[in-house]
Amino acid sequence: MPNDKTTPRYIYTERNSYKNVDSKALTAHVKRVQKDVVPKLKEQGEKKETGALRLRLKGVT
Amino acid sequence: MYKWIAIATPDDYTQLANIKELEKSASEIADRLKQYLSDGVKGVLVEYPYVDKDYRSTYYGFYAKKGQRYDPFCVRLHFFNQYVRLKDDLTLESASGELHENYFGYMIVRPTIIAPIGRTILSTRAVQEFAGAIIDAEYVVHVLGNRMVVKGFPFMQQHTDISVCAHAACWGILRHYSVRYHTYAERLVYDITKMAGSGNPGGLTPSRGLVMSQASQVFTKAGLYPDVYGRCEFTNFDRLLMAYIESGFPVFAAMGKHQHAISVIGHGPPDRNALNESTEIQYAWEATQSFYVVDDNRMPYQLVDCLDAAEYKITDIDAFIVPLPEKIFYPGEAVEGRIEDLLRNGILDLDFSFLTSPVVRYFVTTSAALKRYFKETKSQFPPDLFIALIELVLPQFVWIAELANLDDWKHKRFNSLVIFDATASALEPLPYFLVTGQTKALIFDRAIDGVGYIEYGDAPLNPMSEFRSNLQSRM
Repeated sequence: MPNDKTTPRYIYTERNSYKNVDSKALTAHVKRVQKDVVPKLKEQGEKKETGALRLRLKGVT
Repeated sequence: MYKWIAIATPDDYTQLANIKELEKSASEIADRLKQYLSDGVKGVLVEYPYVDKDYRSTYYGFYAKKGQRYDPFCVRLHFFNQYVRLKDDLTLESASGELHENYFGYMIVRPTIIAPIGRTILSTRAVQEFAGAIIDAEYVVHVLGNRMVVKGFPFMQQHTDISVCAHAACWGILRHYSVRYHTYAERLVYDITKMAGSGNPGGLTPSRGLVMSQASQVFTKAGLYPDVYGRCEFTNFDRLLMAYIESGFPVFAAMGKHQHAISVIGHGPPDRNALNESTEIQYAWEATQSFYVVDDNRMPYQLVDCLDAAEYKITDIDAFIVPLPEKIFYPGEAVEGRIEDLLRNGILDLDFSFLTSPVVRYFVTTSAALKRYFKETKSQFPPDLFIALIELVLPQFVWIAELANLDDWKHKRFNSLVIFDATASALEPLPYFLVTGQTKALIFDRAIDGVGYIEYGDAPLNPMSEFRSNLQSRM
């Protein structure tokens, strides 16, 4: 489907090279990512800095 | 005073003992230079007295207050190749090419009783057996009326009293930022000691060292945005470290067992035959397995790998701080998580099953460097895709992921390009600007929240050449 300005999330351009994406498929992708990927990233973010910040560094020659 | 020492053999460095101002340090300096410098160094110009801003900062704030008398002046040693000599009229003469082409950099020798090596900027060309890539900047040097430039990364020994290893590592990283990017102010050694905060155990003299949070605070006060990673918490710790190094961001690394801090500033050459065919995702890091570090207890550009024989190895690094510029909100671990999901599940009708043995490399770059890459490699892109890439509105920084089939990776090429918005939030479901597949590319115009495809048609997307402009390479 060509880039269509009546469709949500079209690319704002006059170039014919752009085609619209299937917005339902995009919504489904987002839902899957929010379910499968985002919780893992959130968990990783929460692990940051634990322990590491207590290391004491002097390394005298 | 200027004195020239010709270096025919490494033993000639012992002539430094004849320099009166180096009396206490000469043998230590000569030993280090003998072991460390390449045989390309054929002449040393000794400059005394030299006013070194970093040493003077500690002299005014600390040494001048001591009962022991300290000299306010330093000695500076300049290193040249065989084409340069010092004439009797104090003219530096180059027999071949411009003087700066034959210059390897300098080392300042402080008049302190212990740990005398001060600010040092050396070209990797002066270092024995150097092979790899480092983060560097151009340092301007003025000597005897000549203006020269040397590329390198700052090194100095810790003072052991007014600064320890953690200060020296912070200093090197901050000096790099101030020279490379005009946005950041220059911080002298004494400034950094003060920036570590009033919580220094032992008062101003940091005899008991810094903790990671104090190092982090130094970077914050300098206008950077430090992110912290611990090895225990991240199974992909080494890959993340590699990603930030590949991005051109020097990293402050901590080794708990040694109570030591170093800067990680580069990596060794990848072994392109180290990876085997596998349907599991492999990372370019797995073929490298070595870092170049600046360790104040040694000399610049030490290669650290995973071998037990070394004084310490990569796995001794327990944590790192990556001081980031503003506007990099999307973390490395999120890039890796999203790439693994893309490779396994695809996005919309783009799938990556054509990558039968996938190898991944990811890093940050500036949109300016990326657009320069697009322009210089225009012929490798289908025309419609090239136009879309060159006119895409990007923030200052983007994350790049190069996805390659093993065979193409071996030839320094990749097959799919993913561009992430470095200003995206870590949990955003669609942090992309671009995902290229085998027959079409998915473009996210985030400036207007638009999404669209570009089909390649009869002009296929051929394997693309690796992006290599963040680091200086000598592979």
